Amino acid sequence: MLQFIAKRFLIMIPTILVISFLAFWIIQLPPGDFLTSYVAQLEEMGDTIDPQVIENLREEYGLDDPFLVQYWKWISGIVFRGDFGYSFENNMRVSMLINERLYLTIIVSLFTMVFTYAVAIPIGIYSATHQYSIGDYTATFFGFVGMATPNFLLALVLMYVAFVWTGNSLVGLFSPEYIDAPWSWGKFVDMMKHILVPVVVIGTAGTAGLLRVMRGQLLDELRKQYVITARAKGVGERTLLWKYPVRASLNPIVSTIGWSLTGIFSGSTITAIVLNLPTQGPVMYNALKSQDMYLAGGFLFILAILTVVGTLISDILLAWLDPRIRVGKEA
Amino acid sequence: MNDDVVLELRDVKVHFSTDEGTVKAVDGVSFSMTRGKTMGLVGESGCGKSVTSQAILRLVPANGKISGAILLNRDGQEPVDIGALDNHSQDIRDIRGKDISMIFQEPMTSFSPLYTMGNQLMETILLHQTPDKSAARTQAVEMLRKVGIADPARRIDEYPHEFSGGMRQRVMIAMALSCSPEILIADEPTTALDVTIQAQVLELMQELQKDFGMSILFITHDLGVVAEMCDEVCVMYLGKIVEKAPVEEIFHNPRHPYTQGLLESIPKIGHKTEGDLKSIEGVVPVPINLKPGCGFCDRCEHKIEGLCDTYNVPTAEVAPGHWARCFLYPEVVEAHNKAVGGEE
Repeated sequence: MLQFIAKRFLIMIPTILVISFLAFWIIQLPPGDFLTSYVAQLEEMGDTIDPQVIENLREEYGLDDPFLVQYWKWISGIVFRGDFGYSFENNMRVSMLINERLYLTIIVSLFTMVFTYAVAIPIGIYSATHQYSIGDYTATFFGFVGMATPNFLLALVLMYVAFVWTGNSLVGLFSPEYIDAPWSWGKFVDMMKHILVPVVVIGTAGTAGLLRVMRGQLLDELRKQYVITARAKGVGERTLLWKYPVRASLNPIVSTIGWSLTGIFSGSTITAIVLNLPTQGPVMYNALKSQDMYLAGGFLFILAILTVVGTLISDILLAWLDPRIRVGKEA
Repeated sequence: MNDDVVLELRDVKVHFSTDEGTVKAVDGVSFSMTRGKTMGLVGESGCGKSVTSQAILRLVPANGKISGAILLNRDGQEPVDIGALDNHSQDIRDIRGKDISMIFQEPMTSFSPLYTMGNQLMETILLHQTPDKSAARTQAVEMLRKVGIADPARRIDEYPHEFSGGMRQRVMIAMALSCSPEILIADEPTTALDVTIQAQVLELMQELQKDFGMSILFITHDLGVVAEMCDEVCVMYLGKIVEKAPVEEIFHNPRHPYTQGLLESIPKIGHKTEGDLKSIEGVVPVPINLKPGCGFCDRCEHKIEGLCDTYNVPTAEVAPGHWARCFLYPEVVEAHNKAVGGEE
């Protein structure tokens, strides 16, 4: 098992490098760069800028260097100095911007995942074991409604409901007095109050989808011969359910943890804009719009790392769940 | 109840309600099993033999309804009617795996791939015999040795995918016998195995039957296996037993045209067969909304118009210990007349 984890860990390194290269290439793909769109923006407003200043800026940031040189500067900065470059638009180091947003993004994402699994798995199990009952139909109904409702709409509805009931629209992750305050118990409690709405909004669609997956998988497993074998041994229904088919049907859910993590990350952008959440989505979106390439690249890079790490986690969990996947064990 | 009888089925029916109507998969099956002997249950696919065996442990799917009496006569205890128990009751769970255990056709899918063989084997022992894990393990290793698994102390910690089909079936037998059951139900245990492995598994079952003294209900469509394994045979067709007799009687003196057809459709060593082997024309009908009459009459060469296709056929003893459900025999016609006369 340890050997398996070590091997998977080593494979991660070249994977991440290849992804970083692709990410950098993709954000360079649109014609022009930050300075050309900056100049265009100024001209639109009737301003002009001395071409010499532009030329100096190009020089300074190496925008005219060949692609590989630019990539090397970028990646070596990240690897050796933890320096993600400079955000033109925000006039800040990218690492500062990322730091500020990333941990809140991760907090919201993790809460969303916990919410998704905690709701979807038990309801999925209930639906499968009570197939075609009223409870199953109700879960199915809300599941499909949940899947079909756009996140931003749900966000608006919940904001409205929250406002009518509590007099507070619960926008953002913190009340105004805590936004710039250092971490404290009060700030944590305040965040917990605010986090419910975004978690429900971001998590609903995923929960609904997962519920259907869990139900379908479990229905398949329940019909398998080994369930009857266990029943014929005299195992009680509850023990049997949890020991055999439920564990087997977790397999596809566990194997998608890797991408469900990124899905939550990138899928929550619109929600984050609507709810004014201080997460990475809106910043990333703006960076892409204005071709603020180091900022966009930095976020892409970190997203990629999270995906790879998520995949590693799901591989380890899968190996623990299903002995057939444990490779490297001598036969 | 006679002490020699370990299990008796009286008019057992299993009806499934489906959207198309009621499927009478098992429609009034009665037989009794003698302690330490092997009863064969023979028939084509879809004749209800597997469902009969599932009914004995109340393992039929949720839309199936079991009626009739299934009397289990344990040594020194009052007979229990399994037919009257609840599917989820502690009583039936205590019987499953302990008094009556079962082995299945598909050794490949009968084990969960997620747990070691030892885990699944010890589960039965832990449930019914001892809560002590190390004692259960010792017993499980011993069982594996008995069924001929080499190096059982090591192999007990391996997973099902590391075993071959034949080996898995051996572990399955070990699991079924680990609590020394009174009855072993074997639902086509050798159908999925190749012929050499089949012979080994059958031999193993016979040896273990001598050791453990259990009765076996052997379900199969393979008449060769029946000849080798069974003391008595029930031939099933369309949810009913059409013929019941000691094994020699079935092979040397088959009475029901269906049994005769089955026997004619297997090649005999030492006999030159002219042309093709005989086959029984047609297929088993689906048991939904059946008309009264003999279920086999559409496929039968000896059909008597106005009788076979009109009246349900009773069973009668056509020779000592030999029961048949066919109007070709005067005993059956007599039983029919008595029943009809009684109604009028």
